[in-house]
Amino acid sequence: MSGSALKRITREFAEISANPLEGVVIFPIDADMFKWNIELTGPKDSPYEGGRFRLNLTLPETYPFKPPVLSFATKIYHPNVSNDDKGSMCLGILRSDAWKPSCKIVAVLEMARGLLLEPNPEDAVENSIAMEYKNNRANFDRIAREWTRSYAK
Amino acid sequence: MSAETLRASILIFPNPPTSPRFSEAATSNNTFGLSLSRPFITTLFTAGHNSGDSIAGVLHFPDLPSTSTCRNISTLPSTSLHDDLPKSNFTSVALFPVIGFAPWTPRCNKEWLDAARDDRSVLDGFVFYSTNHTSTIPRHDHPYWNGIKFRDYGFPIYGMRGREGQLLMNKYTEFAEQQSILPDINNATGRARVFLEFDTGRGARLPGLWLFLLIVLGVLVAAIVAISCSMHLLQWRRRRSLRNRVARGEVDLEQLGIKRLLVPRKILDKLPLKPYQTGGTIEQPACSICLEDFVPTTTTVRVLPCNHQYHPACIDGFLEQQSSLCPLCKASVLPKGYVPPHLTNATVRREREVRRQRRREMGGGRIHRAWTRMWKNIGWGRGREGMEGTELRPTITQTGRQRGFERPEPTPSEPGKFRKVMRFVFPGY
Ligand SMILES: [Zn+2]
Ligand SMILES: [Zn+2]
Repeated sequence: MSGSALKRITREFAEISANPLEGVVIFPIDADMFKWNIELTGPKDSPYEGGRFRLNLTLPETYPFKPPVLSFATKIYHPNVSNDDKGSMCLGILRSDAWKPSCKIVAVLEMARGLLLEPNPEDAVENSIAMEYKNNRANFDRIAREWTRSYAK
Repeated sequence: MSAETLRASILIFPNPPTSPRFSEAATSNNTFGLSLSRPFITTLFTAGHNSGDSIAGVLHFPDLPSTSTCRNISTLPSTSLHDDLPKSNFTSVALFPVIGFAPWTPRCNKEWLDAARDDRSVLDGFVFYSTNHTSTIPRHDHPYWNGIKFRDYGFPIYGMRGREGQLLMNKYTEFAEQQSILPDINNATGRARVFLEFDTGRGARLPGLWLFLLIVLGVLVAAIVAISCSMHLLQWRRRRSLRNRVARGEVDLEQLGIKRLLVPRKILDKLPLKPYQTGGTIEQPACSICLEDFVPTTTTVRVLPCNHQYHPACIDGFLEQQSSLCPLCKASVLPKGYVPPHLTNATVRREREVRRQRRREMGGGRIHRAWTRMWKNIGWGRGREGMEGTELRPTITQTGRQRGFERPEPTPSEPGKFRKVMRFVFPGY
C-alpha cells in the first residue's frame, strides 16, 4: 500500500516542482516523502502580507485514500487555524469525508493560501476569532497584522 | 463435637507377646458386641474434640483412694476391680488409650473423675453409666451434678444408659477376674479387655456454616450459568435476526456507520475488468489513485458498480483491506443484501443503539425521553447520555455513509481481561 502511496506522492511532488504555486515553497524533509515542510507567503492585500508562514504537511500511509494533514508551525491569527501548539487546520477537502483520491496536494495548498486571503468564519475552529472577523473586521485585521509581524518573519 | 454413637467390642492383648499388635475381636460374633446411639448417650463435655475425631480406648475403672467411702457403694460389683492392664509387657501397650468408666452416683461422681485424672495421666475419655437400667445420664447442667466443672478435666466426658452400661461393667469384671485366656477367639490367647469407641459423626461432614456457604455458592454459580446461557441464546438470536434483516436489505450496516465492511476476493473477482474505453458514462481519462492516464483499448480497468474505474492494482487492495466504498463517490461495491461473514455481538449492540436512537428522534419515544431526563436530573445517566450524544448523533443526523465510515469500530478499544471475561459470560451487556 505505501509503495503505491510513495509512487503517487513522488509524482505529485514532481508536478509541483515543475509548476510551482505562487507564494508557496516546498521542502521535503530529508528523504521522507511523507512529510513536507511548506512555506507560505502572506498574500497581498491581506493582513498576513509580508509574513512567511511555515506549515507541516503529513501524508498518511494510505494516501491518497486518506487526506493529508496540514498544520501551521508558525503562530497565526486566523479563524480556521487552531490557536495552540498544534496549529491544525481541518476543513474542506482536508476532512476525510470530503476527501477524494482525485484531490491533490496542490489543491490542498491552494486552499490553504486561499484561506489566508479569505478566511472561512462559518467553518471555524477558533470561534472567538471568527466572531471578531465577522463583527469587528478592523480589530481582526490589526491583531492578525500584529501577529504576522511578530511571528511570521 | 457430641457423640452420636458408641460401640463396645473385645480387644485381645496376645500372650505371649509375639508382636506388639492387638488382635481385635469381631464385635458381633461369638463374643461380645454392643452399640448405643443418641438419645441413650449423653455428651457432657467435648474437650474441644471435633467431628470425626476418634475417641476410643479400653475400659478402665478408676482406682479410688483407699479412704474413699465411694469404694463400697452398693451399685458396684463385689468383685475386685483390679484393672491389670498389661502395661509392662509392651511399651506400646502402656500408651494404649484408656476410657474411664464409673456408675453415675451423685455423691461420688466428682471423686470418679478426679481419680481417673490422677490414676492415668492421659485419659482419652470418660463415660458414666446409669445405675438404673432404663435411665440415661442427665445433661451437664442438671443440678444432680452438684456443679461439677467438666471443663476442668482435659478429656471428653459422656454418659450412657444403665442397661448397656451394666453389660459393660459385667464384661469388665468378668475379664478382670479371668486373668488370661479367651482361646476361642481366632485361636488367640491373651488378656481380653473391653474396647469402647465413640463416634462423633462423620469427619467429612461439613460444619453448618461451610455447608451454607457452599450451597449459596452453588446456587450462585447455577444462576450465573443459567443467565449466561440465556444471554448467549438471546445474542445468537439477535445475530440471526440482524443477519436476516441485512440479507433482506432492511439494514445497511455500512450506511448506518455500524460496521466497516470489506470486499471479499470472491465478490471482487466478479467486478468486471475491461480494456479502457473513452466516452463512458463518466469521463475518466486517468486513474484518480495513481493519477496515470488510461490508454484507450490498452489499459485494463476495474469497473465498480458506480461506474468509476481504476487500475486493478490501485483499487483492489483498498477494497479488500480498507473499505467497501468507492473512494470517489462512496457508493458501496457490495451487492445489496450482502451479509458480512462476521457479525459480532458488538455489531448487534450498535445496530440496536442506532435503531433505538432513530425511534427516539422520530418522536415515538416520549416516555423514553422523560425517562432519560429523569436519570439525567438524578445524575446517573450522564455518562450514558454523553456517550450516545457524542458517538451516535453524528451518524444519524448525517445519514450515515460519509461520516459513519470514518468512525472507528468500538471493538479494538482493548478491553481489559475482566471485561473480556464478562463479555464472554454475559454477552450483550
Ligand atoms: Zn491507478
Ligand atoms: Zn464511484
